[in-house]
Amino acid sequence: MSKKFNCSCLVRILTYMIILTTSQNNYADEIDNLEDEFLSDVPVILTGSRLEQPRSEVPASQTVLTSEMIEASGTRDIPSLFRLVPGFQVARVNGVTAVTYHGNSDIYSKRLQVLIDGRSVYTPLFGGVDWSDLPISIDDVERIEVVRGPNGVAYGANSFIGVINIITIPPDLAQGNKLIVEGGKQGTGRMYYRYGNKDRKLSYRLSVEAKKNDYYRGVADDERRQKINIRGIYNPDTVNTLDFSAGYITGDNSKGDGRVNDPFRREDITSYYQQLVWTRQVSNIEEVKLNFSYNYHRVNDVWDAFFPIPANLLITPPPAPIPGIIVPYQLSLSGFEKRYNFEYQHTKRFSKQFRAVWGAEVRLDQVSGIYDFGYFNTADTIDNHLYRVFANTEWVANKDLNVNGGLLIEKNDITNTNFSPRLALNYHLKPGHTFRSVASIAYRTPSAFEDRANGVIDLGGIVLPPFDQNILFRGNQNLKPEKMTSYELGYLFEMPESRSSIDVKLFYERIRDIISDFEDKTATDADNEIDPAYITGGKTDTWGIEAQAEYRPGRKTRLWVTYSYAQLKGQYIEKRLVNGTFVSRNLSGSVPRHTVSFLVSHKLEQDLSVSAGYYNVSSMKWVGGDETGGYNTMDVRISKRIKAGSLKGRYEVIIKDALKSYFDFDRAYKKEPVVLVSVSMEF
Amino acid sequence: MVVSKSSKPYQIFREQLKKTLANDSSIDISIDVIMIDELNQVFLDDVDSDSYKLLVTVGSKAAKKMSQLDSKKAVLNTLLPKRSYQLIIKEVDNKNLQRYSAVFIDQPLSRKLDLIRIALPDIKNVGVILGPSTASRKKELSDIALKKNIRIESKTINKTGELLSTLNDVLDDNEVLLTIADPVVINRSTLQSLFMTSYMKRIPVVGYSRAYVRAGALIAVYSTPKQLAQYTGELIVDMLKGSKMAARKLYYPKYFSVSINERVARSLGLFLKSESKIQSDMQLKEGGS
Repeated sequence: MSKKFNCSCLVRILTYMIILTTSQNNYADEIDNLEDEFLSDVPVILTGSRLEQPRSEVPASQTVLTSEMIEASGTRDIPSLFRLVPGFQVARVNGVTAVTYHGNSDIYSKRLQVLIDGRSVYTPLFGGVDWSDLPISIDDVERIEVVRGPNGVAYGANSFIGVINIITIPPDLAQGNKLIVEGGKQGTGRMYYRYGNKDRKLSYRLSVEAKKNDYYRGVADDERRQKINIRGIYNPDTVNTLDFSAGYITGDNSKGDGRVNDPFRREDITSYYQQLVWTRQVSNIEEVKLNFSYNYHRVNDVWDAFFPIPANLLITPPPAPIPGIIVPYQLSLSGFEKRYNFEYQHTKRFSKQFRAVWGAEVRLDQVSGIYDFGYFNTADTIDNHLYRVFANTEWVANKDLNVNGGLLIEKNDITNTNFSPRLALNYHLKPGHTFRSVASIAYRTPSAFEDRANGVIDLGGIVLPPFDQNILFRGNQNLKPEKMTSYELGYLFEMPESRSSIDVKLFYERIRDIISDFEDKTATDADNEIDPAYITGGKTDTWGIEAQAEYRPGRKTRLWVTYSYAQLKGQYIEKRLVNGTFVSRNLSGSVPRHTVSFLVSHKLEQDLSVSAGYYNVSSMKWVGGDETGGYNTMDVRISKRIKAGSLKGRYEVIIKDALKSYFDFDRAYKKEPVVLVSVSMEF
Repeated sequence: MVVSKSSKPYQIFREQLKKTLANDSSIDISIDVIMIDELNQVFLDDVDSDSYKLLVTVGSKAAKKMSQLDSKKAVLNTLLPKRSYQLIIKEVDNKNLQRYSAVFIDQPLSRKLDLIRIALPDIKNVGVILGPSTASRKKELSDIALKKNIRIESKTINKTGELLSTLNDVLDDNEVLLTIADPVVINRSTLQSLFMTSYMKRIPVVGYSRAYVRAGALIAVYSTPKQLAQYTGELIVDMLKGSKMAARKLYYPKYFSVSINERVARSLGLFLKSESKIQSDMQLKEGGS
C-alpha cells in the first residue's frame, strides 16, 4: 500500500517537473493567463503596519538611517551610525560602547531605549544596552528609526531620552547567497554569510557572522564575537502573517589592566533570543498584532584577587589564608538576565478623522549575579514583573491639523505605577511645510543593580580594612524613577520628489530625580565609607536647537547634514560629607555645545562610488571620563562593483578616523586611522 | 462574441458591451454570446455563415481558440494584452492577418509617461525593468520618453532571480519605478519584494492595474472592463457601419481611469493632484496632441 503510494507520488513529482521545465516554452499557458495581470486581485502588500507614518504626521522628532546611509558611512558597527543623528554622542572605552543623546551620561548610558524589530534589548541588570552583544550584524539591518526625545507613551519606561528601533531585512529582500570577507589594521576582521530562500507562502533568511577587533592600541580590549540569526515570514493567507526570528551570539574579550586585583583575563558572553509576531489584518482599517519574545544574556567574568590581611585578623581555619598576609579570593563580575515578553496591539481607523492604537504588555525580567558572591549576594534570581496598558489616538482635526494624544500606564515591582502621557500637534502650513509641537513625560526605572545590588565579600567573618563590612557596592530600594518632561517645537520642510528635506527642532528637556552612585561618609562603619551606593537627587535642564537635512544636488550625489546646539544646567549627587551635607557635581560640561555631521556619497561612474562621513563634536566630559577638548574625525570609503556572469560583487576600501588621532572618552584610549578592505559577493 | 471566462470582469465586459450596442440607435446590432467551454460544432459551423458579420473575442483564451479556426470572418480581439495578441497572431497565416483587429487591455507607453509627467511633474528620472517578453520595447520606450522630455533607464533581466539586484540598481538611480507587465518581472511571487524594496528606498511605483494600486503602487492608469467594453462597442458600431471590415486595426483603450493609493502617497510625503484632475489633464493632453 505504502509502496504504491510512494510510487504514484514519484510519478506525480516527475510529471510536475516535466510540466515545470517545459512550461516556459509552452506559450499557450502563458497566453491564457496574461490578462489576469490586469484583471485579477492581489493581496495588499504595503499594509497599514508596513507603511510608515508620513514624516509630516509623526508626533515626534525622528531620524531614519536608511540602508543607503549605512552603506555610505562605511561603518561596520551599529553604534557608530548614531553619529549621523543630530544631538547624539558615541564613545567606547574599556570594552564598553556608549550611545547617548544630549550628553549627560556615563559609559553605561542607561537612558536610551533600543529595540530590534520591536523587541527591547535594554538590559534589566545594569540598564543600557550591550552594543557588542547584539545578536544581529550590521548587514542584517534594513534601516534604523531614531526618535529624538522621550517616547514612553509608546514603549514605556526607559524610552527616556530617545528610542532606537533597529529594523532587520525582511527575508523577501535577502534572497540568494551573500558573502562578505574583510580585514584591516588593529586586528579588524569579519566574515559574514547570508542565505535566503522562499516559496509561495514562506520566506526566510539565515545569517552568520564572525567578527574580531583589537580596538585601541596598547590597551587589552580586543573582542571576538560569533553570531547566527534566522528570520522567517509565513503568510498562510492574505490576512495572517507569522514573523519569527531567533538568534545566538557567543564570544570573549579581554578584561583587566594587569594590576594584582584586576589581572588580564578573558570575559565570556552568551546571548540568544526568540521572537514570534503574529499579525492579523482584520480589514483594510484594522489590525491585531501579538508579539512573544524571550531574551537571554550571560556574562562570565571570574578572577582571583588577593587581599592583604593584617596579622591580628588572621583566623585559621576557615578560610585558610596563605600563610603570612595574603588571602586569595574569587571575585566575579558575572551575571545573567532573562526576559519574557508578551505584547498585544490593536490598530484601527475608525473614520477618516480618527485612528487609534491600543494594547497591553506583560513582562518578566529575571537577573542574577550567578554566584552567591556576585552582584546580589544571593543565588536566587531577582525578578521584576511589569504590566503596561497603552492607547494612542490620532485625530485629524481638519486637513491642516493632526492631534496626537496618548497615555501609557506602567506598573512594575521596582517603582510601582507611572503614567507617561504625550500630546502632539502637527500643523501643515501648506504642502511640504509642517510645524509640530510635542509635550511628553517619560520615566527611567532604576536597574536591578541600582535597586538591589549587594556586593559583599564574605571571608568567613574577617572584615577587611579597605571594605567596611566587606561591601563593594550597594543598591537602594528607595530610589525613585528618573523623570523626564520634554517640550519641543519642530519645523519640517519636504521636497519629496527630489527627496530633499530639512527638519529643525527647538527643545527643552527637564530631568528630575537623577540617580547617581555616591560616597557616603556618614556611614558609621569602620572607615566611614561605602562606595558606591545609589541615591536619587540630581537634576538637569537641557535646551537647544538641532537640525537635519537631506539634499540631492543631482542624480549621483547625496548629502546628509546634521547639527545640534545644546546647553545643560544641572548636577548629580557625588558625596555626603561626615557632617551630612551633600556635595553635587556639575554636569554642564557633560554635553557638547556643538555636534556636526556631514555624510556625502557620490557616484563617479556606473560601478565606482566614493563617500565620506565627517563628524565634529565640541568639547565634552562624559561622567567618569576626561574633557575631550573637542574633536574632528572623518571616515572615507571607495567602493567598486564588479560583475561576472551571475556573480555580483563589490570591493571596498575604508579609512576610519582618517584625520588625526583623538579620544572620545578617556585620554588613554586614542582613536587612530584604521584601513579596512572588504570584498562582498552575491550569487 | 466568444468569452474566455465567466469571472466578474468578463461578465461586466459582456453586459456593458451589450448595453453600448443597444444604446446606439443609428444601427441595429444583435449579438450572440457564447462561452468558450460551450463552443460546439453547430456554432463553429455557423460562424462562417452570413448570420454573423463580426466575431468578437473576449480574453486571450477565446482569441487563441478563434485564431485556430479556419474562417474568413473579421475578428475583433478584446480584453487581451498586446503581448497575447502578438503571440497569437504569430501563429496565424500571413494572408489571414488582415482579419484580426484588436482592442488591447494595456495602456500605450505614451499615456503611462503622461501620467508620470502630470502626476509627478518634478520627476525626471524614470526606471523600468524589462523581461524577456518586453525587452523588444526598449527602443520604443526611449523614443517616446525623449519626446516627453523624460529620462528613462531601462534594464532587462532574463530570469526572475536577477530581479532583486537589478531592482536595487534601478531604484538607486531613479525617482520612480514604472512597471510594464512581464511575467518574469512582475508576478505574484515577485510583487512583495518589488513593492517593499521600492517603498523602503522611498521610490514610488507606477502600476498598471487598480489591484496593484491597492497592493502598494502609488498610482496607476488602467482601463476598467466597463471602459474597455464601452470603447469596443463604439468600435463595433463603426466597423459595422463602415465598409472596410477586413482591414486590420489595433487600438489602445480610449477610456481610462487613474487611481492613487492615498496612504502610500502620504507615507512617502507626496502631494498629488486628485485622481479626477490628473485624469482630465491627461485627456486634455491626448486630445491636444
